[in-house]
Amino acid sequence: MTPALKASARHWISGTVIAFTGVAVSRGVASGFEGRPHALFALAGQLVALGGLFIILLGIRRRLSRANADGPPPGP
Amino acid sequence: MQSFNFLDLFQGITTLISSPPTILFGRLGLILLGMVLLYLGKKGVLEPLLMIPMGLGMIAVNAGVLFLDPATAGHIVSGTATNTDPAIAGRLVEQAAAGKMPGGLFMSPLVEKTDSLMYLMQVDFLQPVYTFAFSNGLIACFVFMGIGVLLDVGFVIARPFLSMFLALSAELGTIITFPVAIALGLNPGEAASIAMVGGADGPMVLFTSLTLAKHLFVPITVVAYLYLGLTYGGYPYLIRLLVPAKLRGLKMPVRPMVKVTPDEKLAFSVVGCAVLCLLFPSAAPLFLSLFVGVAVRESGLKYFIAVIDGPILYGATMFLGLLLGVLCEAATILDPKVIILLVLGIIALLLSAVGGLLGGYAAYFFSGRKINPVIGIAGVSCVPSTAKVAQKEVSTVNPESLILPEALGANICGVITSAILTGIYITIIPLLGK
Repeated sequence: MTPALKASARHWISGTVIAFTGVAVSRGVASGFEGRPHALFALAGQLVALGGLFIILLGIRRRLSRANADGPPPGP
Repeated sequence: MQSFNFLDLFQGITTLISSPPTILFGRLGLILLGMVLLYLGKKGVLEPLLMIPMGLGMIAVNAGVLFLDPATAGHIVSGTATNTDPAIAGRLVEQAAAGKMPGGLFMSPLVEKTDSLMYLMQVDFLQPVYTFAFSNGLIACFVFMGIGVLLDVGFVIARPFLSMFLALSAELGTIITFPVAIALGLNPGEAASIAMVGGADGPMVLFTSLTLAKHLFVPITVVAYLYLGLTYGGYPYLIRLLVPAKLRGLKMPVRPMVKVTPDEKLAFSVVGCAVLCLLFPSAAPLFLSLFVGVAVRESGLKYFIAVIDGPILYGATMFLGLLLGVLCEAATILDPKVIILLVLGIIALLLSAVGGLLGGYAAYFFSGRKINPVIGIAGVSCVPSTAKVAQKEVSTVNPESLILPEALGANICGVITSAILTGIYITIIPLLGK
């Protein structure tokens, strides 16, 4: 793992786990129901999955903010 | 001496004259429209990469019509599954048997039955390209792969919330047009396909209409590509109308120096592609095509990049334009629903642009009046046209104001949100019919 990924590993891991949990709810749990509960679980799962992707993006944004606060990268 | 009809020397003219008046004037109008599109493409008013082959295809297909031999005509009539009206079907069968059914030697887009398709592939020169690359969405996926290679997802990752917010705002037309289309009498599949014009993403409209409204995919796709060309010419006026010059010239806050690394972009693309394909398997070909382009770019595979952003992207674009032009044959395109589609298409694009600009205004106020509201229009995912239009309008007022990085972020996010909406529509619409 590169230093860039290490810095935001927490967000990467939690975001990925949450995203795939959302997928499991949307595609797996929802299929056990019919009608309105099916639609609700599917929608909730999709939102959770997209939320997971946002957590990853948040992690990268925080790494960028930290890196910028420490100053620009050294030149060649 | 046998009598000789001089017009038989020029069979295209004979066939044209013997067409019913609607088709005759339709053909003449489409030949003229083809010339206009080609001219506007050459002048740069519309997208030349698409409009030049499309215009020429439109001219050729409407001019080069023949009376087909009974065997070929018969295959077109009997192989078309959508021909449900028995009276029309009977009349066409009689015409085909008499060898008087006009048709072209380009392709027969509505033929679906395998035997007829195999026969026509040996007659119509573009039929193999259409059957093996267009009607299954391969060309749309090739274009998407090319877009993926050209995209820098770093712009989205650097400002994810702003990009996603603007992209969602700019889907207003895609969402609102759906119920409007239903109210105007279209079925859900047709309504969703024309609503996707609001996403301003040609491959997405093609993919949705091929999946949900195959019988209308020709006019819907043609309307979509014509209007996408118009975004370049029409959106600047909308920006000037809705955003005062003082706000258009607003300079954006200073950007951070540290950039998103290629590893981060690649890893995010892998997770994003897997999650989106799991959520919306119907749109998985589009997601795969987009993210394979992004992955190739971020992995630095130079030979693949050269192949995808060269021969694949430009080859697909040329054949897309040519096939769209050839699809504009009067008999295929003169559907009574075309007028409704024209109106709905413009509503969708207009609403999306207005939604994007409203999102831009919201970002302007929430950021403490720091974000230029013009970037909102870049949420309409016509990559990179809308981002370039936004920058051009801003530069006209204030040459020192650079909004392109943020505009491209919203633009790229717009592609992703359009693909998600495509996935939602093609997943939900078939369930509505059950």
